[in-house]
Amino acid sequence: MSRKEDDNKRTVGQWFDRFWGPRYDPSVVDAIAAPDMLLHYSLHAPRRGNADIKAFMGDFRRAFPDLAFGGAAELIAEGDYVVGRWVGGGTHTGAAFDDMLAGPLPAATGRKMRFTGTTVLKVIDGRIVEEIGLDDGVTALAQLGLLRMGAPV
Amino acid sequence: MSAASLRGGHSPQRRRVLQSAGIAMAGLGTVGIGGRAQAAGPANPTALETANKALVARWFDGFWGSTWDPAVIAAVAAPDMLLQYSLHAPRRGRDDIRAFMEDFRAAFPDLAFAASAPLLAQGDLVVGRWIGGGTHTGAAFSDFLVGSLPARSGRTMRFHGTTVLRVAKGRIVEEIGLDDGVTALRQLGLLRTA
Repeated sequence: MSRKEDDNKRTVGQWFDRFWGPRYDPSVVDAIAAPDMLLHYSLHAPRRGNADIKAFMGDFRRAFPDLAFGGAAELIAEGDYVVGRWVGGGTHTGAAFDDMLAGPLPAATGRKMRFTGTTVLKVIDGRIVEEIGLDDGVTALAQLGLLRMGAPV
Repeated sequence: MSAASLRGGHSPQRRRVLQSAGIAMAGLGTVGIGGRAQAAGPANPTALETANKALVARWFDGFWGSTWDPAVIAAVAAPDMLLQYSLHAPRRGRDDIRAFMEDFRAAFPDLAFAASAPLLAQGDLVVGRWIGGGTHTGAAFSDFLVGSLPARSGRTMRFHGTTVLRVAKGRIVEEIGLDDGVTALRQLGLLRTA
């Protein structure tokens, strides 16, 4: 593995710790995200740029104050890309939340989500320019009561 | 995982990966996949990663592609290979994996998945991003974890996913994938939003 790939893994490791970990540090967005970074997870609408990305995480943590994700396996790096496999979630004890594509949650449902995912990040000159992730949405949305078995009625 | 391993570096696990990569190189030489791999020797992980990508590309084509080639299993899958996708129960071994795909294609005769981005590789791991699906014009299908489809529902699924495969001794030993299950299962009428 090249030094660049090692450096990219360190950048993504910091991002996962400070953006997705148990203690959110908003300054990580200015420090590590490229100005026009794309953040796109299958559960949520895509976000673009530092202000939009901070708004996403601010809202997510106001709804799920104990939100925390962590690595489930070692990072994989090739060239500009780093792949992370992760697990985590949180309990919806906070504000109403309307940032799940599947539907809104009223305030403090008390529901708990814990799910896995895989994310591919692109790093250029030490900044994350793209984070595209696939959530195990069936698990998360079923736990939150946003999915039902069977066809639309 | 610890913060230290999240940040990369040569942890004990990483060293094991590098060691198994060396073993895999020797295996590739014996089965003759990739002349570069044979010439480069076990100390060159880049040649190994190139050979591993070629192996996974062959698997995606013959196993998941539009033309199903059951012979790819004996050629590419390790005898005790684990196949695990979030939509389905895990499968283990060549016979079980062949049964999985035969059932899937009996239900979805036009089933076809293909890469949506270049493969990524590090050590013995290869990551594939893909898109595809099929139309349920065939047999009843009970291999989705959330529920069963009666024969010929006529429903079409098209969804994407990301898969991490592990290669050892020139064979795929593990394929663990995450499907965009919300999309697929809603299209099939097995799930609906609340």
